[in-house]
Amino acid sequence: MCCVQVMAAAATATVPVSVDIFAESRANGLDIYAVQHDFWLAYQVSEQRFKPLIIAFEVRPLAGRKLKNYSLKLAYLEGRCHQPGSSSSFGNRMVFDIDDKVVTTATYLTFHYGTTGGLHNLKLKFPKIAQGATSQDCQGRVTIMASISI
Amino acid sequence: MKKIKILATTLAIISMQNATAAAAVNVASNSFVWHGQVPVAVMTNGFIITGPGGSPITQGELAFSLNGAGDEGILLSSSTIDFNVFPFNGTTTDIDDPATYSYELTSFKISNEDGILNEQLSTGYYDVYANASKLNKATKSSDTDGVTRLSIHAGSGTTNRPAPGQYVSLHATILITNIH
Repeated sequence: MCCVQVMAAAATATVPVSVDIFAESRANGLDIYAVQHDFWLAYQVSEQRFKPLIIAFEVRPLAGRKLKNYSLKLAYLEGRCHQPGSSSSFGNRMVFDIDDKVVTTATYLTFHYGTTGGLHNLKLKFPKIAQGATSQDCQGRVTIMASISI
Repeated sequence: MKKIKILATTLAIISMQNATAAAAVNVASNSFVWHGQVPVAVMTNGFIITGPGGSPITQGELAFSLNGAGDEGILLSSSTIDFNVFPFNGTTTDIDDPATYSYELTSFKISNEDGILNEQLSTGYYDVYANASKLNKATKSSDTDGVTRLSIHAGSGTTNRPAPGQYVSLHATILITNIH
């Protein structure tokens, strides 16, 4: 939780509430499954940046399919902050790791299902976003793509 | 000579099949969204909004079930999100002497599925409560000097009830004034 503003005689606090009802997406013979898709970031005043976010997900073969080697990459990413009168993008300054290996929209990471069991952690590292005289609402999206040749 | 031609033709067909298989790629994708707020740098007027006891304000959770037809989520309950206002000297929070303050709801944004936050319409499904009383925008509370407990309840509106499989994220902005 973040969001504390104390200025003059007024202050604001943004109070997020989120819930995952249930969801699953799949395509063709492969599925990327995750329990949680929507995350609230915690801001570290001492670091002037959001705490790294770790997203757990699983690559699964669909029923009747066998999975050996598969590749992961980022298909899409964005990060943006808004404050009154301006907006700034920081997606290109973020660093993404899958199991401690840097992944981008241009590079594939290859994994062996027999080794990983399909389980992965995507870690998002955020750049410095300094506090100012107004609060900044930030949000972003990342899409992971898994592929396998048959 | 004729047998050799048949063998060559067979190899060519196998080769074409392998090329077709190598080009067939199964692809799956999944998207994740995140939200956060960079707070205003604490100024020198000497107060801070935190959770009870000076701890960080925590995130809340909602519990849903499905309606009888199975095509809409019904809000069953929510946890509370508690906050208080304390004197703050820049490094230390004085939790033994809570401030007196007023609060009001200034914004209530909802995201269903796409992760994009939009201000809830007056016909929206969710209501924000503080200490068991419904909050209406631009309606200031009386001064209080204790913990304020926020919760989410199902309202009478129906326009943004979630569908099965959707993610619901609610963001309420509470303006705190009259701090002393």
